[in-house]
Amino acid sequence: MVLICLTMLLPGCFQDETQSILLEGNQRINTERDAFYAMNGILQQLQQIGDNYVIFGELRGDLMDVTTKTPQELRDINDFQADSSNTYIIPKKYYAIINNCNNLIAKIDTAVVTNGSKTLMYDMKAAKTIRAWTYLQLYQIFGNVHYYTQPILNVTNQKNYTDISDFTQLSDTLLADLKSWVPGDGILEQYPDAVVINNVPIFYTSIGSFVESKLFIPTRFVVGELYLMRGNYAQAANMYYQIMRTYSLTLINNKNAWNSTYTAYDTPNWPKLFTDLTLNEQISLIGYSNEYTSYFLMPSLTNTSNYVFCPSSTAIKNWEEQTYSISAVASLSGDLRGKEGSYSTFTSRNDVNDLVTNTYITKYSKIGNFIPICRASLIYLRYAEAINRYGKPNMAFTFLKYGLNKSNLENTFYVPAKELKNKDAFIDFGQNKLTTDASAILFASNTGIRSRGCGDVTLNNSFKIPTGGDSITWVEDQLMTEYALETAFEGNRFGDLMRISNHRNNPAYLAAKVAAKFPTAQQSAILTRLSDKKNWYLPEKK
Amino acid sequence: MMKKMKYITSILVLLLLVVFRINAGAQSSDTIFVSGTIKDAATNKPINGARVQAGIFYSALTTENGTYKIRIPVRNALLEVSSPGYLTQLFSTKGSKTLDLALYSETFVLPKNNANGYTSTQSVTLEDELQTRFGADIRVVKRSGQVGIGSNMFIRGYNSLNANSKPLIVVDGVIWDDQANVNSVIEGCFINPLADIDVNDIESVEVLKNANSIYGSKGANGVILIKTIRGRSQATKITFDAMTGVILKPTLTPVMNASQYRSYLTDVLKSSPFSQTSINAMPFLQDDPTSLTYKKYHNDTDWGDQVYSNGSMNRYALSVQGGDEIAIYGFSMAYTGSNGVLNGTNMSRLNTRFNSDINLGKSVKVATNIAFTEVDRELRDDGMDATSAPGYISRIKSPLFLGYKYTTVTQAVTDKLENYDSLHVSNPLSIIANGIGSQRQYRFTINAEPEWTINKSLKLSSIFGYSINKLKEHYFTPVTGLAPVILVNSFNTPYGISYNTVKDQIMQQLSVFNDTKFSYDQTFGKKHHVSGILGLRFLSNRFASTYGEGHNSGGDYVVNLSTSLLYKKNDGGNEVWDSKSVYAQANYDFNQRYFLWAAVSMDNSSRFGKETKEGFKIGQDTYAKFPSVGAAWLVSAEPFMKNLSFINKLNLRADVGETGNDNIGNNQRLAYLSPVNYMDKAVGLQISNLKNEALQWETTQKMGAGIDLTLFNEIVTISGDIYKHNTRNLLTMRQNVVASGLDSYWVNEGSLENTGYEISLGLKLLNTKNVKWNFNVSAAHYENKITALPAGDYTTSVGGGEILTAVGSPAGMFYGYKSLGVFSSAAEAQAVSNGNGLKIQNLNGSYSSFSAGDIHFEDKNGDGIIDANDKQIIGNPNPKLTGAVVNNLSFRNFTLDIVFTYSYGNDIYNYQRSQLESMSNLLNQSTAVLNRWMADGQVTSVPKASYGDPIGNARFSNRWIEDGSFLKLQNVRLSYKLPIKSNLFDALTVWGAVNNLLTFTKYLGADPESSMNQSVLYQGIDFGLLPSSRVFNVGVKLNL
Repeated sequence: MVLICLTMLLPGCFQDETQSILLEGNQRINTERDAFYAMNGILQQLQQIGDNYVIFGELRGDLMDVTTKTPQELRDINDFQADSSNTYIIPKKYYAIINNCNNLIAKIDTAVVTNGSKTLMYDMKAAKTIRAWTYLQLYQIFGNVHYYTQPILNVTNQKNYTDISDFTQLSDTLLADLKSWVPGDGILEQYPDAVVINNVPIFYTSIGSFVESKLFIPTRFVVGELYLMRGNYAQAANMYYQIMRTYSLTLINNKNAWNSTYTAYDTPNWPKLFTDLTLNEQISLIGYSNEYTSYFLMPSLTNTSNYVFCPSSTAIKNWEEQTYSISAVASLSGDLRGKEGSYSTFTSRNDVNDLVTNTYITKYSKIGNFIPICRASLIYLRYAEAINRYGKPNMAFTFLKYGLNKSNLENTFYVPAKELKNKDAFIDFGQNKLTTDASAILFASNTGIRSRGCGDVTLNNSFKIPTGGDSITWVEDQLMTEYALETAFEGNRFGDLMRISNHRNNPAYLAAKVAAKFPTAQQSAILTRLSDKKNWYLPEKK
Repeated sequence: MMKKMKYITSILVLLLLVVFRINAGAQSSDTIFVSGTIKDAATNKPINGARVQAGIFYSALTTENGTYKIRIPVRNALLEVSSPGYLTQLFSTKGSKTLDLALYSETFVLPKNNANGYTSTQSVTLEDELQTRFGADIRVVKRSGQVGIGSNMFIRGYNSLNANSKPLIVVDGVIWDDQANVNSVIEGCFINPLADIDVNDIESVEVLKNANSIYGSKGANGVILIKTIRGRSQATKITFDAMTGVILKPTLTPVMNASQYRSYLTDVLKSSPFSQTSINAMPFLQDDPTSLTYKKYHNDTDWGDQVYSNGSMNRYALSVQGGDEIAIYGFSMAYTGSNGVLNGTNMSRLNTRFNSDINLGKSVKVATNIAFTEVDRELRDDGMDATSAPGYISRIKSPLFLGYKYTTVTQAVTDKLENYDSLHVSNPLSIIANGIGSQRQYRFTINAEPEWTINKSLKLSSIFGYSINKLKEHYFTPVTGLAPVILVNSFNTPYGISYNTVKDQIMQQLSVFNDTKFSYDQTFGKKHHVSGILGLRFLSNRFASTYGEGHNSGGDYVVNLSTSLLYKKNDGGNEVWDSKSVYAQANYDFNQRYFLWAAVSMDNSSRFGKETKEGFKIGQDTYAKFPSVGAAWLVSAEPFMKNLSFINKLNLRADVGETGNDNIGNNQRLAYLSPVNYMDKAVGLQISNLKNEALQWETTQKMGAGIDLTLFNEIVTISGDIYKHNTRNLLTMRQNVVASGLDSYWVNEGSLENTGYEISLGLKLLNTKNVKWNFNVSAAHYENKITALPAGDYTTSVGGGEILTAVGSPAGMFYGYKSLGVFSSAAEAQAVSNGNGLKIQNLNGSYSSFSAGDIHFEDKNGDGIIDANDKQIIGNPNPKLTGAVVNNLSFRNFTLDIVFTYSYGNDIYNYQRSQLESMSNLLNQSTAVLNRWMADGQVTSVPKASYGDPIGNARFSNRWIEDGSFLKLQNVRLSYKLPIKSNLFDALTVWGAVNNLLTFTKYLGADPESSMNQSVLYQGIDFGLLPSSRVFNVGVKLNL
């Protein structure tokens, strides 16, 4: 029975805001069309938390800072002093995503077969993944989630949820829910597909400028994140590796470089990763349209006229401290992903007519109309982080400096044989059985990620794992720097800091990183505050 | 359903059995008579042919010398005496066998009972009449000065906060849906269902304000019962009515002329961020008279003169009544037309009505009403829209500019409309000339009411009502002259620029109504009079609407919705709601002295949840139960009152009962998904409401007592009422649990109370043969108090203001900052707060100080910082007293009516003034800003001009709260009945009237009678809607 009455005009020439649909009786979602509407509702809610995803992920971190124009409420978030009345703290918007996912999951009939396949299975999978991802966000913001899987549709059962503040418990629960939906090895992720209504095909692809698959989150990604956060490094590495394999992700080209005479910059290629969606970089994103419903404020919050957020001194230092290698002996300073891709400067006058140089974030003006949730570089970085902790620091370092491919991995100067000995399927970039595999050929062109902004890093002899120390920690520090160089301002940073702090069992790690962006006078207060893990989280509005 | 019907049927059968049993027990006894003389109270001459009636069975006519003798059922009978030209009066025999009576001329009729006054009136919509006639009974606040736009009406305070608080309207026994939630696409325009009835078609209006619960869950806000005119006799009566008149241009808030404005400009620009170079480049500040564009930017245009002019009003009506023994009919047809005072606006209405009463044999008759009305309006946006409301634009637009293009070629003004000006203000002349704001309202009503007289005391009747109500609106703003507007979404993110707008809306409501009832009336043993009704009422509504909007038509000739428009929006809905009610009322009186009544109503509505706190269940359905009882004692009929002859009538009344409000939203109890837009074109569905089966009606418990007193040979008439209403289960918002992902939901948890009194005094001041003067004054007072709110106190922001809803306070309180004046000097500003001065905290955390010329806001908490913590109650929009003073004079064939209305003790938030005195931009301002602070030491009440108002001098404070008390000479009307006897006609009356002649008030705005819309929280807010202006009419009425 199709009980959800659908009276909407589609795909109208009008923005449609037709009547409400009563949820009476046992309505099922059992057509692609019903699922499409429900899924669009969820994706639209995802749009509404996009800005918050970035603000909570970056403003609390060490790479983004406030300016003189920043409203007090955002300063409070920056200072970890926000109270529950802060209007940026909007847990309800996150739970709205969860409740709508719950509703779709509870009502969808996955047994429906269209053109020989159970297409609604993919809607189920997509909703479960978005739900888990949202719980993960909530956990990282509040340190606690109200967990429930049945839709709340009645005011009397509003409290039918369990509070989970223990991450093991939460990740156990989420993993149990997702495991059966993770595609098998080597199998591509499938997403809700095209819908045909009144003989007009309505693809997700026709919505805005995004390929359908990019609007959803790969299940493997969320599962990988959960494993990584728990410290299940092998399982985590396996998930990220699966994504690389099935999406054919490689790290080639798209670098920012000096021209051949080192007098000027070459045409910046790295920002293209954010503008050219045909490149195999952006895997999952929150997309926005240009016409009516742009809830996405990041571009205007970071531009020079509103200028609410700016890069922190730490972020700038990260780029400027890097060495741009021209040859083994000659080098320039600076990673070109900074000024040529992530931030820039503008001048303004202060009260006494002095010209002041300000730095501002340019990443969002380049990105345009989406927020990246996961992209190729991030997957590789996560993978490297996992295998490093799994006991393969040289392999992880190879990813930074040389590139993960057969020839580099077979080079024992780069990777000692013992790191590759156990032949885990997920460390195979062609050096084992994949020589003839097409994707192994693909990996062959992988280069070191740092070369995206630092010239030919392989020539940089001082960039190497120091001997006699804790290689894993050193490599992890390098990876954290690489996260900052490559993915700054994209919303991941505070989560990264929390994860590493937890893995090192050292809250001071995060505290010190974050405190560094503050003026000296404020640093010790921040350090003290953040050394207590409960201050990492925001208070939930009652 | 079947089960329920059985249940109801068995109740009916039971009642019938009871009735017939009692009937069988009725018995006869001795006959008694009363006799006397009936005279004219003014001339003392006997009245011939006056009709004396005792109960329903006995009546008599007076003889030539005014004597009568009538049989009466009991010693203490009540006599009703009527005679053409005289007031119908009630007399108590007080046990006497002889009773001499005096009748008063119909000049002395109480305004609310004056049926004649509904004809030959200036009023286009009933509310105008109710305000003057029912002064204390209904608080009537005009919506705006637009002809026929109606008024907001409240009976006995506010019995709701968030549900509807307007009285129920019942026309010829049929409940009218008031369409409270239907909004016009034209700003400042209202959908007024009462405009569908021509006032001249109204025979009588009755207001139910007591505790009677017969209207159950629809009656909490009181009931207005309207009866339309019916044929009364078989003789054919033809009436022709014509009226014409002029509506004067309204009085507007005066704004600065060119030279005043220019000096203001220089002043405000000093604090602006514009560089001197860009200021010098502003064309209207370049003062070289030889410049080619000098004349374009150096004018002294009075924009008020350009957009307003005198309007007109006409009405032509024909009514025919007549019939024969089988059928009597009343037919009427009327046209009302008006040109509005805002240029380009007009209104026209066509009414037709055919009412008939047909006798189908001895015991069965059928009454039918058929009516069709079409109301057409051409309007423009009204209120405070700076882009498209010509009225408001005429206040803020710089006088330096011209409405028509100036050409440098011939150095002359052309006839081409100018575009929007360099200050980004629209050209109102273009909006008037090329804009469209048409509203068409149609209503077709057909009622049939068969009535079967089963026996002498029992009747069965049933009203079938069917109506179609249609609204069609089309709105267009021209590209030429309209200032572009940035469109923002609900997240305040801009998504486009609108150069003009097209909007269309169509709505249709279909209502089916049935009210079937048994009526019973019987007297037992002469002294026991019992009457009662038992009925079943059913109302079903089907509502459908479509809305379309688009922008940027590209030109002024593409005025309709089309696919080429940008930023399109489409909305629509279908809603269905039903309600049914079983009701009963029983009346008993003993000896025509002691009266008792009891009424009960049991209501079900599709809006009620299935697990409500109150009410009971029949099957799956929840029924609300509303009981009420009342008693009256006609003290003056007691034999012991015989000697107190100066008391003609003393009646004491008391009642207590419960009523309800079912206007709680059609689907609020259900979980539902609402559509959203995803990526421009795709539709998404999201959960937007949770099921709440506990949602129910609001319950208002009413208690009241009253006294009716007539003294000194009926010269003094006093009526007084006190009441107390307690509303519980108030519809209020509660926060959802965070995990639900939704904001809030409706619950029945709050409560409020209204206490008050109403008094009216009637004096027959003069009663001579030629001159008669009837004087009536009324006053009403209510005190509203919120007694419980589930989620605590809250404020609602309304047009820059803030309304407080708090336990212990009345509804609608103004909540803001308190101004203590203007700092005349820097030293004075520094001196406050222990020499630290006052500051505000800016958004980015820094501080700014108040200085000379800024407003001194009270620092309530004494922390030196003016912020939200310093807000306090700064005004109360609830009046202390409202009412009317009505004088009816007659001199021979002349009658003169003089009506005052008043309101005392209410505050108004003058939102318009807050904009016209903000001095924060380059737009024109009211002349009040001429007194602005300019130099150190200057003592004034108006702060300095300050571009952008960074310190917030214009914030919501008591600067904008004013005393809204007023006394209006609402209506003066003189009519003259020509003393001509003619074969051509029976009577010819000519009349002239002035409406809204004078207003005595301290209020600075254009009209102290103002409210932003019909919701309780928006009362007392002057949103700058078109003020009422003076209307002069002359008319003629011809009876053929």
